[in-house]
Amino acid sequence: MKRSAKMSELRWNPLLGEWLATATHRQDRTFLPPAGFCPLCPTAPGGFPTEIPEATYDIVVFENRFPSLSPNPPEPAIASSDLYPVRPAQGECEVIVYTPDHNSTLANEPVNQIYKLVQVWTDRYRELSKLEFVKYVFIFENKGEAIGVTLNHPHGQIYAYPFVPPRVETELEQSRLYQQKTGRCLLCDLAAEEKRDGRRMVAENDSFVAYIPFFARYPYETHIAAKRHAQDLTQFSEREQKDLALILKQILVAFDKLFNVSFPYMMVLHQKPSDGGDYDFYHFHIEFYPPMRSATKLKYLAGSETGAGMFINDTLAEEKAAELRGHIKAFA
Amino acid sequence: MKDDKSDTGEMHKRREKMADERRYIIYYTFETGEKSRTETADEEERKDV
Repeated sequence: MKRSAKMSELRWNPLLGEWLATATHRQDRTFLPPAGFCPLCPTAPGGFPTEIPEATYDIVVFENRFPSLSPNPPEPAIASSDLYPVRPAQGECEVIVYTPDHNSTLANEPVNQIYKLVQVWTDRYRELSKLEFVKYVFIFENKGEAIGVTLNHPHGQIYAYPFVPPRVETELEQSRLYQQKTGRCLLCDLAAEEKRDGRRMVAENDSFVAYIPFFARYPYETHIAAKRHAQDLTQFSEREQKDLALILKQILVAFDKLFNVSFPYMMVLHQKPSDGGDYDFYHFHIEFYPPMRSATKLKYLAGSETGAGMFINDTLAEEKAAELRGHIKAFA
Repeated sequence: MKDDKSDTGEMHKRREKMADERRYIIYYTFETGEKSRTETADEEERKDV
């Protein structure tokens, strides 16, 4: 086996039927740097050279210095076999810096800045989807040290995978089967049912609904779904983009008010794949997975969740939605 | 419904090589970006809710 300073490859898991990436160079990535040495801050005149040489910026996107996937990946360091297929870790990993303000969060940014972010997300989805080797564009944010972030400066990430990732594949298959059975969109029906029931609803505007789903795995797991049947960000009108920014702001601020802390979460955007297939049965939505289950306790993924894939939620979605709903404010 | 970009201005982007000459960086700017960045969450929040 070749040894390399940058070992990165995709290895097939025949037990689960899914790819995983090895990216050994990420062991050396910047970890919670001291104040004044944040690589996502603008470079100050005469100061520490960050990733961003401009003295200020609005929103910046750049290629991750420590990517799991890259457009020109090294050859795998280990030979592929029938039992253990291996392939180059081709793809793209981008960082999206939301603001020059190191101490801000997306929740603290004005709605207009979130609206800008929605426009940037849309542009990145459109551009990365054009790459021949990209089959799925995954936009996400890990926020908070409880999630394991290595940089606290407000930012998100994009992984452009060379395959459709397994969790999305499962959603696609369930949506496909539901449409075959009923002729309807599964996400449209879920959103409609949550709105009809009302107990798990958190917020709503002309274009989007937010709710803690009936089947939430985390106490404050919140989903934002488009009211109109659309598969990806590029299909939204400007009005819908603004409405998405508004409902995001409402949810993020409500999260922070739950326990008066900067609420940690994973935020993921689920859109249709970029492989040229027909996914009219699928439906754009955003999912939040916050790990806090109380002011002092975290939800850990333990034996049942990790080893069996069955989540145990210690709370009721109906009660948690009522809590969160109590902190929803209107924003202009 | 009226659709306009008056809240942010038109989006522009500028793509450059990073200092390592290997990676790219894209600066996204908006025509009225500076104004919107100075607004605070508190200023936006409606007082009647």
